[in-house]
Amino acid sequence: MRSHRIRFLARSLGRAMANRSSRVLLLVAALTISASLATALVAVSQGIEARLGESMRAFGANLIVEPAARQVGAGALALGDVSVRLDPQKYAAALSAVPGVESVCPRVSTTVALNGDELPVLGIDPAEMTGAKWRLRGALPAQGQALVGVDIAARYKLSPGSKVPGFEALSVSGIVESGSEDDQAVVLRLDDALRLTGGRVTGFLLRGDGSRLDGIARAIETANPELSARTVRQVADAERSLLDRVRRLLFIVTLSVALVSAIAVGNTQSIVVLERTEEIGLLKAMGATRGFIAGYFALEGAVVALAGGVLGLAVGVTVAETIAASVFGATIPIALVAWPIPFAVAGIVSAVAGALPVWRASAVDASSTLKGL
Amino acid sequence: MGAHEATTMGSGLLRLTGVSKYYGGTGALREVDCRVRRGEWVTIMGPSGSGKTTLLSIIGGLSRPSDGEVLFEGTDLTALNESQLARYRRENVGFIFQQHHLIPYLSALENVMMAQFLHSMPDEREAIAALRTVGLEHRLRHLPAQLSGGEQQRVGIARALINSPSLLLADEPTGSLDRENAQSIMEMLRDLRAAEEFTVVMVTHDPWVGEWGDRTILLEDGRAVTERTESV
Repeated sequence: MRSHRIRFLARSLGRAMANRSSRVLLLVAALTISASLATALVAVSQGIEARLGESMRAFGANLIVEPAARQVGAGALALGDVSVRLDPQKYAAALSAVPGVESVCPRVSTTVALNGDELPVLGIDPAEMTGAKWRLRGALPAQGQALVGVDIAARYKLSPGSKVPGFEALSVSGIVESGSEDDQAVVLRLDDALRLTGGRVTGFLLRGDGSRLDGIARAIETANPELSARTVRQVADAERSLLDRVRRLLFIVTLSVALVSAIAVGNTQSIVVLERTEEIGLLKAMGATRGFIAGYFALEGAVVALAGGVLGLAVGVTVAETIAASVFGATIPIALVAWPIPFAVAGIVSAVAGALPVWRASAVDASSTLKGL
Repeated sequence: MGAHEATTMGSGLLRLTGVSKYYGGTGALREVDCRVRRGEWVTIMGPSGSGKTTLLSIIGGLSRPSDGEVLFEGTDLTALNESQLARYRRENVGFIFQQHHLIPYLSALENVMMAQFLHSMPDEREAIAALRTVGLEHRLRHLPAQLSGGEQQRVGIARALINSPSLLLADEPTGSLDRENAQSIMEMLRDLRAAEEFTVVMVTHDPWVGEWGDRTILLEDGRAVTERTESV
C-alpha cells in the first residue's frame, strides 16, 4: 500500500518537473557547475598526490642530475632541457667519482615530430627498466623493440607487436604505466635513443647514500656548475607546489561558482514557488499540511540535486583529467573520496539556496490564493 | 450577535456563532451566526464583496475568523492548530471552485488521485469509478487543458467527493460555465448529494443556482441579513 503512495508521488513529481523542464534544467545546470568544480578540485588534488607517490616509487634512483637549465617534472622523462645535452662518458665518470654515489645511469629525453605533434621519447638502459618499477604489460625491449607509455598506447591503439609510432623500424614489446608523464612517451633502449641525440644524454639518474643526499647534490653542483642535482623529493616538491597553486585556484573558483549557483538556484526556486502558488493553495485546500508542502518541494530539490550530482561527477572527472593532463602532463586515478563530493555539494547548495523558497511555499495562504478564482 | 440566526432541522453539522473577519480595519464578515444540519444544501448569496467567499473559507478551515466560534460536529475549528485544520479539511471537506483549479500537469485521473493521495491512499480503480460517475470515463488520461470548462468542473467534483467528505463547499461552481453546462453540473450535484448524503454549502451570486438548495442565507456588507427556504 505504501508503494502505491510512493509510486504516485514519484509520478506526480516527475510530471511537475517535466512541466517546468526549462527551469529544472537551469537548476540542474547551476548545480552541475559547482558540483563538477568541487569534484575536479578533490580529484585533481587526490589524483596528483597519488601520482606523485607513484612517481617517487617509480624512480629507482634518488638523485636527478641534469643541465642547470631544467624542466619541472616528476617522471624520468623530465630530465633536463632537451636542447642541452651532455657527454655520457665524461659525466658518468665524473659523477661516479663523487663520494657517496653508488650508481650512475644515463638517460635521454627528447622528442620526435609525429603528425604535427611532438612525441616524447625516453632512452633508458634496458637493465634499468627492471628497476624502474614501472607496471609493465608485455616484455622488456630486445634489439629492434621499444616500450610505449600507456597513454601513447591508448592514443595510437598499440599493443605488443605493433609498430612504434615515429619509429617504423621498431616494434612494441610492452606497455608501461608509471603514473607520470612517462606514460605519454616512447621508451627506447638507450643505444637506440643515443642515435637520435648524436650520442648525447639529457641527464643522469643516480643512486646515492640516502643518509647524505643533500651533501652529494651539493658536491655534484660544486664540481660541475653546469649541472643541477636534485633529490627526487625536490622534484616531487616542485610538483606539489604547482598542485597547491592549482588547488587554491580551484578552491576559490569553486567557492565563487557555488555562491553564484546558490543565488541562481534560490532565484529559480522562488520563481517556481510563485508560479505554483495556486497549486500549493489547492493542495492545502485538499488537506496538505505545511510539512507536506515543504517536503514536496524539498524532494523536488533533492531530485534536482541528485541530477546535478550525477552530471557534476561526470563533468568534474573530465575537468580533473583535463587539468591533470594539461597542467601536470599525467593521467590521474579518480579517488573514491571524490565520488560523493558532487552529490554533497549539489545537495548542500540546493538545500541552502532552496530553504527560503521551500519555506515560502509551505507558508502560502490557501484562502487568498483560491479566493475569487 | 448577528442579525439573523438560522433555525436548524435534525442533527447539526456546523454552527457559526458571532463570526467576524477583519482585514486591517475593514470588516469582511460581521457577527455572522448560522447553523447547517447534516445533509442540508445551504446556498450563501449576496452581492460582490458581501463576504460570501470569506465565510466559505472560514467554514472550510482555510482561514480563521477574527472573532467568533465555528463548531463542526462539536469541534471548535478556531481552537485547532494549522496541522489539525489541514486534517479537518482532508477528512471532512471537499472543495469545488469556480475556476476548477485542476493541477495542469496531471491528467483528470491523476487530479482525482491526488486528493486520495493527500487523504490516505491513491486508488486508481476508485478514481476511475468517480470519474465514470461524472461521465468522464472517456477522458481519464486527458490533461485539464484538453478538457472543456464543464469537463474540468466534473473532474473538480469527482476530486472533491472522492474521499466521501461530509461537507462539500462550492464557490461559484457554475460561474465560468454556460447555462447548459451549469444545468448539467447542478443536476449532477443534486443526484450525487441524494446518493451520498453529504452536506452542501454553496456560494453563488446567481439566483438560479440558489434555487437548487434547501435554504439560502443572504449576506450583505458582511452580515447575514435574511434567510429563506427554497421551495424546490
